[in-house]
Amino acid sequence: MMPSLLVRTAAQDEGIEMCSVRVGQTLYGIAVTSILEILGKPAKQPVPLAPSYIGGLVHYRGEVLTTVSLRRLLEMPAHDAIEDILVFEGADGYFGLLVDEVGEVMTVLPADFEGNPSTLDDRRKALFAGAYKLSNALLVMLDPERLDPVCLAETASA
Amino acid sequence: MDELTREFLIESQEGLDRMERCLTELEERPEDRELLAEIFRSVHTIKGTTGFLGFSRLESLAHAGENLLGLLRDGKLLANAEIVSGLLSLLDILRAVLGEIEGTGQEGEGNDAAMIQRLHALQHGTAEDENAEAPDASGEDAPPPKISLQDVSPKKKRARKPRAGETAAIASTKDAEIAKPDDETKAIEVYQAEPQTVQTRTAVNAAESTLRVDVDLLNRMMNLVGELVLTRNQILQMVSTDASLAMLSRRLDMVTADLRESVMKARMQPVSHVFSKFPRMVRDLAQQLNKRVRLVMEGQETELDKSLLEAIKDPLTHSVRNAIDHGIEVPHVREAAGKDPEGTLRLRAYQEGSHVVIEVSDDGGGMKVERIRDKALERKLITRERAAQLSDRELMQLIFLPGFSTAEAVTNVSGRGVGMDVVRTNVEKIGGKVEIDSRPGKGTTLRLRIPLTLAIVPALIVHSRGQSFALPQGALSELVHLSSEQIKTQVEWMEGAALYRLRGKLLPLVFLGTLLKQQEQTEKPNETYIAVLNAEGRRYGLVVDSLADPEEIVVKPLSSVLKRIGLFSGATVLGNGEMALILDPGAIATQSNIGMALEDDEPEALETSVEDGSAEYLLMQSASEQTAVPLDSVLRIERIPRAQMEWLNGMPVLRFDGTLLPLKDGIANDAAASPEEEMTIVVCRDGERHVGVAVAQVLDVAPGKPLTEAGTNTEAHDVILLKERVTSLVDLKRIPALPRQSEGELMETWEAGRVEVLA
Repeated sequence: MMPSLLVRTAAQDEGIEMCSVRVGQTLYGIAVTSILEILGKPAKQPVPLAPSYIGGLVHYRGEVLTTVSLRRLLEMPAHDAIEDILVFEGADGYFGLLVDEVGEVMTVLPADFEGNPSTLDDRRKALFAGAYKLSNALLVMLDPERLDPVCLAETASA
Repeated sequence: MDELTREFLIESQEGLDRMERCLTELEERPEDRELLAEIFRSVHTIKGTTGFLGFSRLESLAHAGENLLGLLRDGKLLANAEIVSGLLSLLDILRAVLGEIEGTGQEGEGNDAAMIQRLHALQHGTAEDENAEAPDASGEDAPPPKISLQDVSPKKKRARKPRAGETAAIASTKDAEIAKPDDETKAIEVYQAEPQTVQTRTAVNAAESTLRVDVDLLNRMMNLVGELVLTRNQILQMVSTDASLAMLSRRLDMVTADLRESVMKARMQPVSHVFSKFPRMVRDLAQQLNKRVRLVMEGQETELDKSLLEAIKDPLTHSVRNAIDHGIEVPHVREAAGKDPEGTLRLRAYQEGSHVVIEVSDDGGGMKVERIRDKALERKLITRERAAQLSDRELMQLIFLPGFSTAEAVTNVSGRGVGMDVVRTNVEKIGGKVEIDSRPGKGTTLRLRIPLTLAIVPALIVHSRGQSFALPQGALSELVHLSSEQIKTQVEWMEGAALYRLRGKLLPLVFLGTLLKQQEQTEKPNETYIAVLNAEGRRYGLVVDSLADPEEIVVKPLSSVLKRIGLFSGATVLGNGEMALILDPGAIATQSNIGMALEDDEPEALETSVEDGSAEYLLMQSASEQTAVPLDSVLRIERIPRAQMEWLNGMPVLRFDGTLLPLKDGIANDAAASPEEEMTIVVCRDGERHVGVAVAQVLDVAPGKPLTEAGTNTEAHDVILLKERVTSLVDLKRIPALPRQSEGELMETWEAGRVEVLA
């Protein structure tokens, strides 16, 4: 992976570095610049009575990190495997995003970008920020701002 | 905002605070030159800096004030109530403008002509009979050197010299007129001549010993220390097997405790920060209400965590207002009652164990229980039947109910129905307690009991359906264990509401698992615990599956989304690395509709038993016999391994939170006791000090009856009848005091140990 990154530095002016993550069968992309840290499979504590999309609490550098489960946001069945966490800075401090697995960093070109299709259901439309066409698949874009629990709390209640 | 302006704002605000304090004192001692000089300096500094920074509005205001103060300082005018009021309103305007600058960076629009006019009028109002030119001269005299100061700042020194001579000349002519003692005037001349240098000198002195630190940085440090405490706890749990590592970890334990203490100290501020605004407030209120009030403040140096200090500001302000409005009577009423027409309001702060107590007491009319009862009935806060059952003390507690206010007229001071309940809620929110004590005709004392720090709280870890939760010990009054058999028989149901008979009284129960809608576990727990909680005056039992050890937890805030659930006040990381949510006993009570009506039961039971001469006692099992201590002296009960007990000059002691607790070892002769075995420490209050009693276990709480000697009919000491058995009382006074001198030595040896670690 590292060599490929080096090779592509030349093209970085146009290319955008994306961290790919997997939830279920889908590949999602998040801009590398917005990710503070990736936590590998930490223990998390469930919060009773919390909104369904809250994945639990994780101990993160002396703070209590609230996590959002992408799986539950997408109303996918829960699974028992321990998940990876991406840490972002949100409106109300740090928050984490639970994903099945963090993949590699890839560079995409703006030219390959297309917005959300109109056929997508409303829930997903609100969460996804479009997609990049990869040679063999689609990289669905996630916007950390829309995944911020503060933001989700507003849209969920509406 | 640039650094200079920010610095200026902080300094000016401090100056104004100082000025406010001095002004109220000035009213009592209008001739105190030191006070006047201090006030003059505050205004002068503001004026000097504002001119430099280009805040013209502030400058002209400060200038007008300085002129008036100049006259006062020179003894040409004597401060009276009118002048003090004028200066106080100047202070308010200055504050408002500073606030504006802080918010917007601009002075804001405002017409200060009226204020300046007023100050000007005050200058002349009383000075007219004197040589009319003299005040004018010195009035106009003030600005030129300031201007020269700004314009030719490099030449500051030279420019000032002749000015000094000038003033001296004016002052000496003045001397002849008012015939003041010579050297006193000299001293003032020095001030006048070189106010700048005097200021710099004091500023440097302060700067040498203190340092302004950003609160955010302190918070961060506190956070890290908390983290260190957690890591230490985890290490301590891990190393119990390895001897040498245990040794090292004990040192780590000590260093951590020390570090935590110092960082905590850095966050401490004296209560005078809050107290300092009261002289002004009391003065204004008293004037407004036509009362005469003397404010006495004690223990201003007592320190409290900064955030707690902020939190008690409002409750305390409210209490002070209440005391003046409702407590202290108008002068003629006081005279009629044979009291000094001037009422006394006493603010007292002192430390008691791990709490700071702040007392607000007045020598006013006290609370009339009949009126409280009538008012409570009128507002339908309690039923008539209920009111008839309540004791005076309990009736007094009614003032803490929401929507209670006895003021006959709604004044703009207080009496709007928001009152003591807000005080109580706010104080309990930070883990404190409010007590009230009142005697008709004598006065009322309100006692706010505040924990020293918020960041670290003792908590009991409880489990509910496989998950750990932390329950703050402040709200916990006792624990009841029920076996699976007892759950079936002793928990009673009334149309879906679970109740438990605690010493004959019904206690509403809340099942934590059900409340949190946690998933049912397949296997039913075969035992249950009821944590009897007292939250903001509401009593209920929280049913949990099992208990773990009590732990000192570091409170971490929750994100806003989770705060919204409303049942958790934060989260924490436990010694075993697990995360736990911190339960909020008050919020649980609210969500479960636990009412206030049932809460009075317990104090009532205590009250009546005390009245018929039989107080309640804690019955304990020592090595072979049963002993007891009065329940009201018991602070808390802890279980610790025997190995933690240490010896000092042949006296058992326990290190606790960095303090030393003298012990009475009630199980010392128990040969079977191994170092690992846990023992129970009952921590009791003996006067001011705390002492511990080590026992095998705590048995029960029961009312005891005093026994009298046959024949003589004198009451027997240290023995009572408890549960129909003669039981000896532990004489807490008999527990030897800590040796005062050797305490220092002990510290030294600890110190030495620490040096070793560093080396």
